[in-house]
Amino acid sequence: MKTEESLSTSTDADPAAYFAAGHAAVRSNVERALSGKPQAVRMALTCLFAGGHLLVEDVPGVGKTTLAKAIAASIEASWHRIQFTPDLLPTDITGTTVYDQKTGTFDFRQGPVFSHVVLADEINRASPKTQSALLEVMEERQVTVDGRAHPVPTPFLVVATQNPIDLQGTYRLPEAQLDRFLLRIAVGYPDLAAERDLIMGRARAGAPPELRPVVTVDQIRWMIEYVSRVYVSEPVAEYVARIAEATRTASQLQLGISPRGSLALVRTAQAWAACEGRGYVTPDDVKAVAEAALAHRLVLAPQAEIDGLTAAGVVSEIMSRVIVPVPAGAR
Amino acid sequence: MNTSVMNGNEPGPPQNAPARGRAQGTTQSAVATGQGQGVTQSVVAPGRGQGAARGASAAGRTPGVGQDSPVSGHGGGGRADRGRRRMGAFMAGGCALAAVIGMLPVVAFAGAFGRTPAEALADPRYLLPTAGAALVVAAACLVTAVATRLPPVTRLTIGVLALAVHLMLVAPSDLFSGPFRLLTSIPPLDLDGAELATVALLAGLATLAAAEPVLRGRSVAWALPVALLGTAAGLAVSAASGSAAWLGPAAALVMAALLVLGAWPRGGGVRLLALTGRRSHLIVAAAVPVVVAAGVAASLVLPGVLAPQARPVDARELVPQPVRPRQVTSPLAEFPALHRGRTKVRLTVTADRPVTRLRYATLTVFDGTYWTAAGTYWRAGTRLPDPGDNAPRATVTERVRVEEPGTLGMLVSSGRPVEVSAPGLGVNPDTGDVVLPDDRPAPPEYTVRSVVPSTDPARLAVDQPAPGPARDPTVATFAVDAKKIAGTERGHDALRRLADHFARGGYAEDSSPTPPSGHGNWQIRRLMEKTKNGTAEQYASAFAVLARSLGYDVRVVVGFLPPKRQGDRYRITERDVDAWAEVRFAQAGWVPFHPTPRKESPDEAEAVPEEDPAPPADSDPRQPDPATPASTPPEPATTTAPPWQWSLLAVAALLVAMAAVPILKGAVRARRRRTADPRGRVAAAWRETLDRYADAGLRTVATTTAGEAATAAATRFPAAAPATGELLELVNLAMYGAHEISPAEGERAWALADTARARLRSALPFGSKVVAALRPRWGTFPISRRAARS
Repeated sequence: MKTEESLSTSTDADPAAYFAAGHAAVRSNVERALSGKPQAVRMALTCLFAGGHLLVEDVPGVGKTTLAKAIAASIEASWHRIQFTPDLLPTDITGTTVYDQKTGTFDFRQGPVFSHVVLADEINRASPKTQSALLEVMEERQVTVDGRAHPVPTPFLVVATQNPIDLQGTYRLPEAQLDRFLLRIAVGYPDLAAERDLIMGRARAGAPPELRPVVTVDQIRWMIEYVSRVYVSEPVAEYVARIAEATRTASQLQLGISPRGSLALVRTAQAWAACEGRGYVTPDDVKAVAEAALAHRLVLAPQAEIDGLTAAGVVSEIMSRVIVPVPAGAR
Repeated sequence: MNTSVMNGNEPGPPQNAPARGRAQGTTQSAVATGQGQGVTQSVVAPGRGQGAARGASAAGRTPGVGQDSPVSGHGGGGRADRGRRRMGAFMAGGCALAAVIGMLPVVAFAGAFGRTPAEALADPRYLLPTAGAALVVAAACLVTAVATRLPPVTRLTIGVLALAVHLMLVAPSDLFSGPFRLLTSIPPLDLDGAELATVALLAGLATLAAAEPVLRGRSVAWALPVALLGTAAGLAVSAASGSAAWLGPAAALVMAALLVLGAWPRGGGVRLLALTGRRSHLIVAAAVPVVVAAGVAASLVLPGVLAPQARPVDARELVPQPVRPRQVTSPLAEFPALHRGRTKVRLTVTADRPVTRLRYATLTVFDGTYWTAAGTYWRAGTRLPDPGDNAPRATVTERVRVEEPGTLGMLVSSGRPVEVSAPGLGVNPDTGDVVLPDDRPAPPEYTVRSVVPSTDPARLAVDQPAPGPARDPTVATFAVDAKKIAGTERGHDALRRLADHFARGGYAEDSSPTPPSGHGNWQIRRLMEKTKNGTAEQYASAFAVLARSLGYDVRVVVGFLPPKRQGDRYRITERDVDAWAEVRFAQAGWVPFHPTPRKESPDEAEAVPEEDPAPPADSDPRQPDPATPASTPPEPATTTAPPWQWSLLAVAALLVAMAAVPILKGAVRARRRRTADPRGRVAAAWRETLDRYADAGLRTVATTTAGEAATAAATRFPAAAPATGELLELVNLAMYGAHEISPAEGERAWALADTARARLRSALPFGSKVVAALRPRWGTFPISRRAARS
């Protein structure tokens, strides 16, 4: 592909610029669909480039699905949408083996999970069995049927949405499985001006614009690879370790973050730094992504729940008391 | 990026644009070469920043400053040196001007410290502490401004400190009582007391107040107010010396000259002369000293031309009588108690020449019953006011040791005291009497130099007694008796006859244990008509009243008639008390008459024999008299005013502590700047910037990240935001980035830190600036090389 070639030649010269170009393209594309929510878009793209899965949790109608669809549409890749319902079966997601009468063999017919981007809508409406089928794929990046492993394509991004209210007939995701999501974000209501613009835009132009893919799968793969190479200095690693330590000793928490959580935090911070156009992570990056990367991994102590604390609140409280490490010679 | 910093932060008039462009180039070259040009530029940055901050009008007024400064770092070493030299010349010129301005109060106060202003100005003991204060302060400001990059607040503190040290070294005394003592003392004031320290303080403050606006590039007019106040105070205080009248016009002339200079092309006279070097401005600069010198010289040579005719305002008239004498009863009323030995007095008087009479009280007012002293007693130094006439006189020096003072409330001397070793006593400028004040202990020993009118009878015969009060009703009843005694004689002869009438006309001195007492009209009448027997109290009073009834100016003097000389000393007891009268003559001054009849010395001398008017010991009054070794009595001030000294000490300690804070900050900054490792250097620059923000009130804690601190700073101090933002990038790169930091980046970090600091400072209002400069940063103290670096 021509564009890809021109881009890939520039990776040798200036990887940072190449990443920035890709990031800007995706971001502007997504923001065309979801205007007025730059923070949510940024966070979602951070998750994408970090190579993790995204859980969007918010009330209905704020654009969760729009966001997920916009991201999927921006990439020149296969994508499927699975609407989770209580009667959805695990095989409806992973696929199943069917008997081929011609050949006399059992062929594996791939389910919707075999695509680059999977949009799992209202994930908490499905039964735990179905949920865990998806979560297994998310972690293993392969589907095992009848003893045979079928790897899903890379990159593999699951964007799940769930509704925090209207809990009747839902199955809340267990904490252990929430851990599989790299980030949990909320979209939030647009502010007054953004909402006015949104209404005006719809009133004039009608339906939202059809999004076209702006990056290829290879490009995304390269970008994820680039993120993993963003430099993490010792003070930053120390900072993340201190944060993890603080969550484990915090009285408001029953369960702190696991080392997987620490790694997730670092990875997210790397992606954030890359999106900021930097080749190294600063404590500011860690702070910026901490809530999204950590809040869903924590289990509040019963007393804290009675006190009405939220995990996000506890994270920000912890961030406000963890000392930022400064390299020697800086004091 | 750089452009946005510059443009975003220096909204100035268009004519400054080329200068900005050059400044930009400078910054870049500093980064590229890393040879410290960025640092050079930042030396001049504060002044320029202020100029720019003051907006279009100020920038328009100071084109020289605005455009010249960036050149200092522009095109290589030569031009940088020239710029620095010009800056230095400007600062030196400003400080010299400030010193001149600081001298104004010194000149104005001169009249209070000498018998004439010129005398005080010629005396190094006056000139050194006062003019020295101005010079020391000016030098301190100059050195601080040229050699360091300390903020103006610190420069001010250092100036104050230098002044304090100067005062402590040169005029260590109780400063707080100075102004009061200036108002309650009579010139000439002592050259080592609190009064002198006050003048030195005023000179120093005037210099400081003048140097600061000039160094900050303001108009010279700003430098004048304090000096003006000091000069006015000096004129008001030295008015009593009379001859200070020329100072007013002279000071006005100087002020006018300075104001003209200040108003020179768009207010930048002094700055322009140093910066642009145009000849016209040099001429203006040269004109200032010439005008000052001409004004002073003209006033000195032609005092009558400029001096106003009326008596100048004397600030002393505003305060109540300053000295209350210890002895309040009339000394003549105490005469009987002394004469009968009821009150013990023991004095040992050592004199450099024979003494005929010792006087201590002069009584000028007679109310029909008592002779009393009138007039106000002023606090005096060691030098006392002159008699103020041109009568011929001799000088006598006596050393008096008071073994038993009795009720004696005055100094004992042969003539009118002009110099006394014990300062702080009260003096009556009319009679010259020196009283012991009731608020301080009496000196146990003192040396007094006094003038004795030298009169010879032949001269007095042709001299005329001066007329007294026109018609005194209290003595009018004696006019007939007086004329009868005087007969047809007039003047000196009439007075001689009056004295002789008592001394030789059948009167006798009462030597009984209970002599008559009292000296009013009734007693005089009784003495003359009945008893013909009395003491010196009655004879002196009688003579004075009779002479007064003839219309002469007469007063009664109480003193001692010394017994026989023992070696060079006289031992005086209370029984030696004597009283006599003095009559004022037109030429000779006050001439004594002794009307008391005495067996052994019937009439020894109406006139003191003329003596050598200038004995060698008196040629230089400042040299210690051989008769007075170092055993001068302790100064009363040191024993009575320790609270003042303590408070002075406390204030000094406070000042030192306050000054220590900015100085220590400067030291920490210098050490941080010297950090060798480029990465540590960038981090140190950030630390420094954070500290300055903390000084300005921006609280950052250990959990604050660099980015958060920068954001908070940008929100609160937008002026410093661009530099801080740029610095933040460098800092993040240095602290968390992967690649090595070059020395140039370290250099650039400090340039940015300096810019941020300057912008921050100019964004703060004055009060906050002072608070920021004085707010201690405990985290960085105490300073050690290690603490500053790691």
